[in-house]
Amino acid sequence: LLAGAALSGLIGVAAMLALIRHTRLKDDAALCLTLSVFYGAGVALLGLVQQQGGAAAGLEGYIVGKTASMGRKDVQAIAVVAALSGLVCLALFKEFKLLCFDAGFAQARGMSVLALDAALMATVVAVTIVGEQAVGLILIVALLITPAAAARFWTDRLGRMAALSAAIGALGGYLGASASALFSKLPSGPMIVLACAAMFGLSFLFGSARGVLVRLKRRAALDRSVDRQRLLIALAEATEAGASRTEIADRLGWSHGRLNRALRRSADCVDVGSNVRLTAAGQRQAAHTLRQRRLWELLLEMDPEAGPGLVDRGAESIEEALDPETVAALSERLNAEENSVPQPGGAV
Amino acid sequence: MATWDWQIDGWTVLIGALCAVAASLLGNFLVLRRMTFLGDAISHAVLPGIAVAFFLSASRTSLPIFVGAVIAGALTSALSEAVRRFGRVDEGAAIGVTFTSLFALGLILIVQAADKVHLDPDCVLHGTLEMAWLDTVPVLGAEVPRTALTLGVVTLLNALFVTLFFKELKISSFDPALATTSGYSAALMHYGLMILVAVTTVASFEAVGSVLVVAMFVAPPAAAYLLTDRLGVMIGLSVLLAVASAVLGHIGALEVPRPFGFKSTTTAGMIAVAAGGLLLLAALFGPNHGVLIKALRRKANRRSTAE
Repeated sequence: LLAGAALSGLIGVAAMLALIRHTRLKDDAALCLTLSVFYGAGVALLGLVQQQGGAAAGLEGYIVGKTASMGRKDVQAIAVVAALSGLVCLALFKEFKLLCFDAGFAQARGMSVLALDAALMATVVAVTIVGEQAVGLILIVALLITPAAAARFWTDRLGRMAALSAAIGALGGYLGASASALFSKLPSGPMIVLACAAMFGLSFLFGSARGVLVRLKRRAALDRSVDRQRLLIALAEATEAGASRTEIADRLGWSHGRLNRALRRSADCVDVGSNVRLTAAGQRQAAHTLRQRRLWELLLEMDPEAGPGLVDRGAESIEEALDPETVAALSERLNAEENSVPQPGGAV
Repeated sequence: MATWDWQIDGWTVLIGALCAVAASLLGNFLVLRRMTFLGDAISHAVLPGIAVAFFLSASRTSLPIFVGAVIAGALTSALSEAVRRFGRVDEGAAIGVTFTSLFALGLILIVQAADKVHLDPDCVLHGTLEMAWLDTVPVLGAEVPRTALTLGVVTLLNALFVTLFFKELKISSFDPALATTSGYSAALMHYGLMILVAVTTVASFEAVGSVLVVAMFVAPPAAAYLLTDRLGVMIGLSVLLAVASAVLGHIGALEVPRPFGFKSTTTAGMIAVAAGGLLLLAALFGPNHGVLIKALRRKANRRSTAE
C-alpha cells in the first residue's frame, strides 16, 4: 500500500519537474496541475476499488488523520522514515543549502541539480506518506511549512534554523496530541497544526532575528540615530548664540515633542537654555557628522549608478560601510573641495 | 457502449461542463498572475467556512453557505498577505501557513459541532456528480437539477466579470504598476478574483468536491496557455478545453473501466484526468510551445548553423 503511494508520489514529482523544465508553465501552475490531476486519477481508481468491495481506504481518516488509532507498527514506520530523512538531510546538508540559494553555482561546481532536486522531493514524498496517517492530507502541508517558517524568525543561519524547526515541530506534535488526548472532541491532527501555528504566531511577534517587535525596535533605533544627526547639523548651522526651540523645530519640520525628545537624548552635545546651542563636544560631533554626510554625497556624485546601493544610513561612520580605497578617494575630493572654495554646510 | 440516458448523463455532462467552464474562466488569470497556489489554498480554506455557516445558520439553503465561503476565502487571502508583508515571509510559505491553520481550525469546529454538521468525506473529496441530476427544482416548468442552476448562475457571473473587466484584468495581470497608474485598482481586481474563486469552489462542492475543482481552475487554462500567446484566444480555448474535459471525462468514466472488468467510476476524477490528458497533448504538440515543435526547431537550427 505504502509502496504504491510512494511510486505515485515519485511519478508526480517527476511529472512536475518535467513540466517546469520543458514547458513554459511556471512552477506554481505545474505544482497545482500535478496535484489535482493525479488526485483525480486517484479518485477514479478508488472508485474502481470500491466496486471491487475492497476497503474504502478510510477516506475520512485521509482528511483528518488518525493519530489516535495508530498502532505500534505505524509508529515504527514513522520513526524509521523520520530517521532516514534526517540522515539524508544531514548528509546532503551542504548540497541542499547550495541548491536552495544558488542552484546555478551548484551546477557549475559539478553537482547534479536534478539529482539533488529528486533526492529532496523523494524525502518529502516519504515523509508525506507516513505523516498523512498521523495528520491527514492537507495538514501534512502545515507540518512541512509551519515549523520551518517559525524557525526562520529566530535566526539567519540555515543550520540553526533546521535544528530549531525540528524542535518546534516536535513540540507542536507533543502539545497538540496531548491536548487532543486530554480534552474530548479535539481531533489530534488539527490540534497539532494549531499548536505549530501558535508557535508560528509567537515567533512572528517575538522572534529575535526577524520578529515584528525586534524589527520595530531596530527601526526606532535607526530613526533616533538619524534624528540626532539632523539635530546636530541644524544646530551647527545656527549662529553662535544658538537658536530658539521653535526656530529649530520649524527648520527641521518637527513637532516640539520630537525636538524635546531628541534634545534629551543628545544631552552631552547641547546646551539648553533660553536658546539651544552646541557644546564643544557637540561641535566636534556635528563637524564629524557633516563630514560623513558630505562624503556620502560625494560617493553618490561620483557613482550615481552603484552608489545608492552602498549607502548605509545606520552606519556610524563611512569607514565602517565602505572599503578603504573608496573612502580615501572620497576624502581626497573632500579636502580639495574645502581648500578651494568655502562651501556652505550641507542641506539639513 | 453503455446505455446513454440523456436525463442522467446529459445533466451530468452539463453540470460538469458548467463547473469546468466557471472555474477555467477565472483560472486563466490565476495562471497568469502565478496565483494558482492561492486559488488552491482558498478552495481548501472555504471548507471550514462552509461548515461554520452550516453550523450557525442551521439550514441547508445556499446563501449563508456562500457568504461563509466568501468570508473564509477573503480571510485566507488577507491573512496570508498580512503574514507575508509584516513577517517578510515568502509568499508560498505565508499562504501555506495561513490556509492550513484556518483549515485545522475549521476541522476542529466541525468535530465540535458533529451532531449538527455532518461532513461527508465524499462531498469534500470528489463530489457526487453522479447523483446531482436527482435533486431538482422546478424552473419555468422544467425540472432542473439544483446544482446545474447554481453552477449556471456562477458561470454567468464569472463570464460577466471576465468580459466587463477584461481590460483591467489584462493590465493588472501583466503590469500591476501600470494598472494602478492608469487608474484601475489592481487590488480590487485581486479581491474580486479571489471572492469569485471562493464562490465557484462552493458551487462546485457538490459537483466535483473541493479538491478536484483545483484541476478545473488550472488544467484547461494551462493547456490554453501552451497553445497561444493572446489572452482573448487563451480564454476562449480554455472554455473549449473545459467543456471537452467534461465530456471526455464522463464518457471515460463510463467506458474506460469496462475492458478491465469494472462497471464505471467517478466522473469527477475522470474529468480531472481528461483535463490533464489534454494538457499533456498541448504540452507535447502545441504549435508554438510544444515540446515536439521545439525539438524539431532545435534540429533545424543545428542543421542550418552547421552549414
